[in-house]
Amino acid sequence: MLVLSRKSKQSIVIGDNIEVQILDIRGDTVRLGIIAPPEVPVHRREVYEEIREENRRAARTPTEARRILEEVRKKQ
Amino acid sequence: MAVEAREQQTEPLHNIDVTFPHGLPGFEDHREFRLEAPPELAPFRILRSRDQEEVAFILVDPRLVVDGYSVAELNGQEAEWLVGAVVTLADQPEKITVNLQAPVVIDRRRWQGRQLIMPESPYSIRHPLLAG
Repeated sequence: MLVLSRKSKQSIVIGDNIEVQILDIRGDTVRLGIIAPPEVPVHRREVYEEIREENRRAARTPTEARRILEEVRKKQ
Repeated sequence: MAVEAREQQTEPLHNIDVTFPHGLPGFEDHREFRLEAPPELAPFRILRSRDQEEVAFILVDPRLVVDGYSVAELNGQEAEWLVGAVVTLADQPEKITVNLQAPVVIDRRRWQGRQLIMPESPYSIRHPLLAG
């Protein structure tokens, strides 16, 4: 892992078109400003992990998905 | 939500190939999908991976689940996008939930999709599909 020290208002540049700026530091909280093209998804790690976990729970084989949906429709 | 009754707002699209350049969270290696809308399963659609045939997701139009559902990121351009919420199936229908916080959005012009993550939205990751 590349480790860099930055002060408030300083930034780093990743590749040609991504910039991460340290906006301010208060106690143990650092506020970051991120400039990236819209096609680059930027997420808080824990939020991304939560969606990842939910997707894993949601994934089915097509056959299984069909079977459960047919049952749901029958019970309606 | 009444699963079978509501009139479908969606056009009869069957078996459309859709590319997800970033995959889906947890399935980052899956880029090529096929979106199926079997009439007998309406209003549900099946998004199945073409990279690994055994992986499929169930989608439902979130506007059928919650009135007035909207995706701020689409800036009112909703007509150009197909929006589907991922359904987490369960053996008991009352335990089935819908992920309203991370809708799959598909650009209808290029048939390219991504899963948006909207942690600031009022929507839940596990919204019950069947209300009361």
